[in-house]
Amino acid sequence: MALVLVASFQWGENPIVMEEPQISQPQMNEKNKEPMLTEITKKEEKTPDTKSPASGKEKETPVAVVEEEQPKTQEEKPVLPENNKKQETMQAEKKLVCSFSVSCNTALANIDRLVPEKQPLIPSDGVLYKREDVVFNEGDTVFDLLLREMTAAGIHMEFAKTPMYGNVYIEGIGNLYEFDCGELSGWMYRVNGAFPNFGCEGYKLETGDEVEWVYTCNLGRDVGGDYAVQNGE
Amino acid sequence: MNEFKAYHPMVNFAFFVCAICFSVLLMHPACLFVSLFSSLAYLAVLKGKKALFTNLLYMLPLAFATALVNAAFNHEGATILAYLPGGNPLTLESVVYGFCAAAMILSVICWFSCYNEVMTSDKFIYLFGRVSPALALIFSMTLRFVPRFAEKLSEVTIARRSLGKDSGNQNVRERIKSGLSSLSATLSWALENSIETADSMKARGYGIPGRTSFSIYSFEKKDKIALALIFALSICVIYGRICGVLNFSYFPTFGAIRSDFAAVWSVFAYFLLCIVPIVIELKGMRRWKKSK
Repeated sequence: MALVLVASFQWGENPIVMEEPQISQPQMNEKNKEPMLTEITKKEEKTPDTKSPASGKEKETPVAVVEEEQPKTQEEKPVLPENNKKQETMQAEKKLVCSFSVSCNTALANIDRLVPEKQPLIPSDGVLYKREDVVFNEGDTVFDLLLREMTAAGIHMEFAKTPMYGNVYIEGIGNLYEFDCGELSGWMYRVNGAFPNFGCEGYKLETGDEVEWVYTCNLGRDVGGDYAVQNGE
Repeated sequence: MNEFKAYHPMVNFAFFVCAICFSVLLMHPACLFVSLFSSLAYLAVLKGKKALFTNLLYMLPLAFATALVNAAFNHEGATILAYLPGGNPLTLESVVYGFCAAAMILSVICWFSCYNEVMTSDKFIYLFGRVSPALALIFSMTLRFVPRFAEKLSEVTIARRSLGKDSGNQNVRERIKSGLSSLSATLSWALENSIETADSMKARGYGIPGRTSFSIYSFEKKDKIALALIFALSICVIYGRICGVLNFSYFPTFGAIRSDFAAVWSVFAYFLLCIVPIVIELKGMRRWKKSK
């Protein structure tokens, strides 16, 4: 049954999983119940879930279901708040957080070169996604984070996947595309101040990372990301 | 139904060059509508309503396929409708652009089928035989190739059937076999025929300087008027295009459709240009009815 639990959590189908405690509940007494619940929460944290900023609410849904079940046996009621607290503290301990931002200051600086139809798209401060600490899952790459955050925020983003290299190329964010601001323009990503020299699907996130997506109008030179600068030549 | 056909080849050719070029170049929704509407109408006038419906039968699925393919590969646009399974967004702008591109393709196909009805290969050779004899001959032979090949293929099939080689009620394997031998016979005929045509044209002295050729075309007053009209209206449309009133941006958001005098006049001039042959046909029909 534990296997089933893990598998179904990984697919994010919480409703199926929620039925599990219901079935096993009548057989358990108070003492058995507690470790069982913590086990579930542990597994839940390990599994990747799809929307991290909004996930705060979603993660608590299994607990909420348990709450509804509780009135069946009155003695179990006081146990609940304790469980909730436990879950929260465990989350805080294992939380994987990194900062994330998307900006296009260079497009703002070179607005005369920008395609006229795209000029109204550029925010006046050049920030498409304000710097924010976001939660990510174990094993997430920079691309996973970008895709999830852009989808959650409703910001347009187009990418091209190349199965041959197992990597993706970001063509445009917020309808600001490569080549929109001169032939040397496009999106680049920076982690902890450095530009990795490979695709964003290849960069595995670590907690505390500072991920920045920046738009360049000059092949990275205007954001300090050209090859010569990075190699000190 | 032969009114516009009876005009000088130069008038016919000038009209189709303008109509097809503007259909491809002007992606403004109003222009696309004008082009699609008038090309379908002219096709109906030329070939009859029945032919129009059979054409639409394969054109509509083609249009839908074009629109779907565009939406599947083009993700630009500010209005996100949904997310595709791959993770890329499906946007309203790309869907609308797909349908507009489909309308453009349909109108160009319709214009070309009208072209094939009106501009016969002798007209084309008459216009360009002097300028570039080899190119004109190749072009007219190429345009003529597909219908001629289909005709010959059915001839070969009938001949084979009369010999008892293809009874019509065999299994799939047999039918493919017999179809292939018909095809091979027709192919060798086509190769031989093209060489024969070239030899025959050479024997007649085609392309030799100083050689004159007979033609029944004469440039009359009505041709002058029609050509001047086509030329004037084209200038109006080109002017509208240069001014930008006929430009329309689909990405990232739809541009505004202008309704000032210049924009309306450009679209109206384009409409007048597209219906020139239809008006000529209708005028001819009325005169014919009156004379009876």
